[in-house]
Formats: sequence, C-alpha cells, structure tokens
Amino acid sequence: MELDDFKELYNKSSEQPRLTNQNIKDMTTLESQGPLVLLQKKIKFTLFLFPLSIVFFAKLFIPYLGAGEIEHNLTTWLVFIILFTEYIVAIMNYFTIKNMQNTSGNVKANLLNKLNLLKSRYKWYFILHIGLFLLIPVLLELNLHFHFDNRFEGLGNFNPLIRIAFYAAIFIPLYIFKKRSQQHNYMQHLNKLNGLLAQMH
Amino acid sequence: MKPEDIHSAFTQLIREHERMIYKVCFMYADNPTYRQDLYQEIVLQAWKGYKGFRGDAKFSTWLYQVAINTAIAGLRKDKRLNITHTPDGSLPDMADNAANNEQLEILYTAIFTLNEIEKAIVMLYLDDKSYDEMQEIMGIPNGALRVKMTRIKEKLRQITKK
Repeated sequence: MELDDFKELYNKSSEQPRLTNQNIKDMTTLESQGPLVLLQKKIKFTLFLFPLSIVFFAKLFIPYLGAGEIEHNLTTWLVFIILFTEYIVAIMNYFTIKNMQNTSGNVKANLLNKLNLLKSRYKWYFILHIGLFLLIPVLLELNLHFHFDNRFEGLGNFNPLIRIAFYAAIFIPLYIFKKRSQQHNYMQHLNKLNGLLAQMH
Repeated sequence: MKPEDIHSAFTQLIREHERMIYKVCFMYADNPTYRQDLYQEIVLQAWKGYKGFRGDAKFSTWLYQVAINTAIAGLRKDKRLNITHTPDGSLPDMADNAANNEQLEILYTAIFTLNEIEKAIVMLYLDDKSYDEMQEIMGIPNGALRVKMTRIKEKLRQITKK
C-alpha cells in the first residue's frame, strides 16, 4: 500500500470530538519533567555550595586576619582555587543546560545549537581542569622559591625530576578520571545528537 | 496585552491545534501514559516559548517545531507529571481510534520502524504540509526532503508488503 493512500485515513483518525476539557491553563503551571530540567535542579543545588564554603572559610580564618596567616597558608589557597574552578564549572553547566532547553527554531538548528553548547562545555571543562592541574604544581614550586608556606618546603629536598614525577603521578590519574567521568556523562548525549543530525543527511 | 489575555490567547491557540500535538505524541510516544506526559510537556514548552513567538512564521509551523524538538529531546519515563484530567476523569487518547483500524495499525507499525527524523518527515507529509513548510520546520533543504521522502515511501512500501 502507498503512503499517500493512508493520508485521508490518518487525518480522519485525529478528527475526534474536540478535547476542550483538557485544562491547558493548569498544564502551563506544571513543572517540566524533561531530563534537562531535572539536571538543572541538581546543578542549582551545587551553586549554593560555593558561597557556603566561602562563609565556612571566612569563619575559619577571621581569627587569623592581620596576623599574616591566611596569605601564608598555601593549603587554603589551593582548596580555594579548586573550589573556585569547580564553581565556575557548575555555573557553566547551569547555563549550558538552561540554553539547551530551548525548543524553538527549526529541528536541525535546534539540534546543532544543543550539540555546539555541549561541545563547548566539554572543551572548556578540560581547559579549566588542565589549567587547575598545572597551577597547583606551579604554586608548589613557587612556594619553594618565595617561601609562602614552610609546611610545603620539604618538597625542596627532592630532586626536581622526582618532584615532576610526583606531580604527574597525582594529576595525570586525576585528569584521566575526570575525562572518563565526563565521557560517561556527556558522550551518550553527544552521540545521540550526532546520531539525530546524521539522520538528517 | 495583559498577562491574562496572553494566557487566554495561548489557550485558544492550543485548543485549535491540539490535534496536531496529538499527532506528534502518537508518533513519538509508545504508550498512552507516556503520550499524555509528552502532550503536557509540549504544551508547557510552547507556553515557555510563546512570549518569544513574534509571528514571523505561522503558529502551526512554530508549534510543530516546538513539539518535534520536545519529542526528540524526550522525557524521563520514570517521572510522572500530574495529569490534568477531563471532568469525567478520563484522558483523551488517539490510541483507541487507531487500534480499531487495521489499516492504520499497519501504517503505524511501519512508521514506528523509522528513525526519529524520518518519523517527523512522514508526519508532516501525512499532514499535507508543503515541502517549503517542511523545510521551515525541519531545517532540511527542500530538495533533500524530496529525496528523503522518496526513500521513506519505498521503505514503508517494503515493510507494509511483508
């Protein structure tokens, strides 16, 4: 049977009595249950964690203000930098997810927009984390020269090559772990979007 | 325009196009429960985007874009929305009508074997949309759509032959 033969039948099938009883006004007040909205809620929660951690840090270090303790505490700065990077990532995720919820525009443009948003988020995630993983050894090395925090100066007893190997042993597995977890979370979405775009050709 | 007027105008437009939304739901959702959830999600997404609708395109074209984009993005099947019931407590569904019709069943069985994009193209074709309108909704050039349509017809012909 030809598809055209079905046209009339198909259109008749939806000519049922008007469904005016559906409460459209109520529907517009419901919360969306799309996967992106649920993800956005989770991210929104993490956005509150950073300001809370600032309060926590402030409370912890206010007694030492003026005594030169904070600026000479490398651990504090490292934790702060790590938290700040993760906060930037969370903000980035929040806006990516928010923009991905846009359902207007033609189907192809909408898919391409989603794909570009995800790719850009994926790229910046790694740029930020590579930056972070490079910054920490740099700070530790600078500490050996400028003596901010004498608790880390023991590192200076080791040969620079051993120190480099030590940093690599910590940060390379961390980077691989981050990459794998991101691939697990994002690759399936990227593959789905790529698959849908491939169906358009 | 007052917010209440915007709401009323939107409600009226959705009522006028509700069959179109059902067609999308029927094409993309595999069971009545999911279909009803999808219907509500489409209405919700349309409402969210309605303020940005400037009338450059026909409302039906815009709504088709929103509906297909929402359907393709999918819903979480484990999360149920609060269903808005009709006064008699039942929910309208196209499935019963379709199930009673053997020919339509054959058509839908064949269509369900198509991929997401092919389904959208067939749906627009069956809805008598011109290739220009289909291009506006899908973003696929007119020529490519014709080629795809020929392939889809052949595919469906083969499936319905079996």
